[in-house]
Amino acid sequence: MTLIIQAILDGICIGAIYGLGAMGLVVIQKSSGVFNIAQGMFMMFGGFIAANLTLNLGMPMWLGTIVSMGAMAVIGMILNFLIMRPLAGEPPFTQLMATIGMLSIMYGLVMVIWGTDPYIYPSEIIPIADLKFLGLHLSPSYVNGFIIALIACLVLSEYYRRSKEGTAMRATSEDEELAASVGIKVTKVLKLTWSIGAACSTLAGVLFGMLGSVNYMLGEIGLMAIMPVLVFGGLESFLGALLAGFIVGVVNMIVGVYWEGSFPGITAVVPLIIMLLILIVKPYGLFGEERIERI
Amino acid sequence: MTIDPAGIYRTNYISDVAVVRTKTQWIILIVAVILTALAPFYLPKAIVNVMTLTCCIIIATFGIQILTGYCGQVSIGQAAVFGIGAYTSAILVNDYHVPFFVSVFLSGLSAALVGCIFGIPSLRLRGFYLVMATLAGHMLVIYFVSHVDFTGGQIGHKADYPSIGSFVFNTGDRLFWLNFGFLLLMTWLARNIVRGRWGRAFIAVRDNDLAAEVMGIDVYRTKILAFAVGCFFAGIGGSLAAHYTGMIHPTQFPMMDGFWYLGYIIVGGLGSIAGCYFGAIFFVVIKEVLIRLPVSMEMAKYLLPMTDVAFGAIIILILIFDPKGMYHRWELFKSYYRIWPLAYK
Repeated sequence: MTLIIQAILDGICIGAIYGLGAMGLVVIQKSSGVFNIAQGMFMMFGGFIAANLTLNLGMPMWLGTIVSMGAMAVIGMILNFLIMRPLAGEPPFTQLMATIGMLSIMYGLVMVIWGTDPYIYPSEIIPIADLKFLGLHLSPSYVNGFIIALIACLVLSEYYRRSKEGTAMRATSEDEELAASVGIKVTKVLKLTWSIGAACSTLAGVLFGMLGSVNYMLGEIGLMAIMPVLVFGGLESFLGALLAGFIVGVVNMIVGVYWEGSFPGITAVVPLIIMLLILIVKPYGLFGEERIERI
Repeated sequence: MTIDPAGIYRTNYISDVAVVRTKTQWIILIVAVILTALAPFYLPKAIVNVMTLTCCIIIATFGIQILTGYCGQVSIGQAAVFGIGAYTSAILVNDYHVPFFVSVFLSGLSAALVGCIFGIPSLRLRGFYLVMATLAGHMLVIYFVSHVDFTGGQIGHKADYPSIGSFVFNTGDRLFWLNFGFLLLMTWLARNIVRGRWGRAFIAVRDNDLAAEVMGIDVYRTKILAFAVGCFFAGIGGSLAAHYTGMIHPTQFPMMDGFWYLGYIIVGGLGSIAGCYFGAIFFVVIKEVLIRLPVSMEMAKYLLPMTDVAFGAIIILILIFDPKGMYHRWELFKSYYRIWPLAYK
């Protein structure tokens, strides 16, 4: 019993991080309609920048994270300007291929710049201590991840709902031309979305890296982790993404407790199987909106 | 279609639908095929080996071209299906002693079967959801082959040299001729699939599936068929590659390869079988040249990741500056030289 509760708690902590990673994708998808498959690589790239700042340059953890988020926000903006802006209005397949190009460039660059050795955060560097109660034990990286990811998710969704830029972003995601006609600068909105998306996934990448290590497989693993979250939550809502993150995290952990011993590696696969089943039965995700198509 | 030179008239249907239309084209084609087939006699061994593997890659690229370029269903699982073909053939030949020429086609069929399963979500999905589904399918296939016993799991599986009767294709040259022969056969097959009834149905579904349905095309059947045909080609390519390398392992089919196949058709040109040659050969040349650059030992480990950077950069540049791909450039060049010295305006 303790094992299950422990698994559920761990799952919720990890789920918050998955949710944050998925949110980065949702932000970009909502405003520009681009399915950014390179999001996992954003996580990895940002994670590597933060790991270098903290472990090699000796910055405190919080400063390293914030600096890397800022750096990735700038990179996201540059990518938008150089790659996505010239391709605006092209068919979705072209834009998808452009993000695949980004994915490939970042994947190669990570190995060129930082090599294939993993970076592991020592436990002293993580700010919050262990939580122990009723025979349960939550390790600091999990608690930390949960709190930071939850705060980030809530801040982001409030920002979207209340602020002026958030309203502009929502308007752009509804209809770009209408938004432009009421005086919203669509290019500026897209710039902002790409930087927010990149910063968001950087934070998720840093938290993800604290769980294990920051290595060159993180991009692929991150992408595989946030895909089921997107399908559960739909590509439209933030809170959907967060809730779906919890579900995926808990499923992950429970599967890990029971089956990881007999089938190594199955933790990463079970959410994908559930995702495929959902896609077959309910094609637009559990909370997604169904689109009506016209000829 | 192609424009005939002035003075050539078609008098019957057969000559009107022909792919190779004039005597000059026949001569160029035959000379090119013979020159390529004689490559082992005048090219160094390393280049012939690369060409042998390129044949397999081009065959798999035909598959993704039919699936994505003609039918519009984006699939990232091509590398996994390539792996299915490789494993099927290796297991059939090594464990069950099935003759090679039977097992090639059986592995194509098994890949097609897996392709149909990949394709089931496409009945209701479109765009990114299909991308996610095929990506998940890729991960499932790779997980499966690396965790069951009969594929050899993490250790990998041996694949013997192909043989026909007592004749064994055990040298680099013989393997090259085998793969080149299959490449010609598959080119003929792919070219005829896409201009036949199936190919026209694929194009109709790609351009507008609701309109295609109104015209009487069974959209679901066509999509599944496209997945089956596309994966059949990948299976054949995978089988040839397995017997060429001699040893197969789950890490030979990484996720990035699925992206690379899409890159081949983007660079070559969507919706043309000849474009597959351009795209695949272009990237193979770039990759091989990059890996073999003469640099110091410390620099050498950066070369392999640099191929990924180069790949991404080329795709993005092509998408922005030349979205029709290299085949379109080739057509422009052909129409230019046809009237070359006496161009009229």
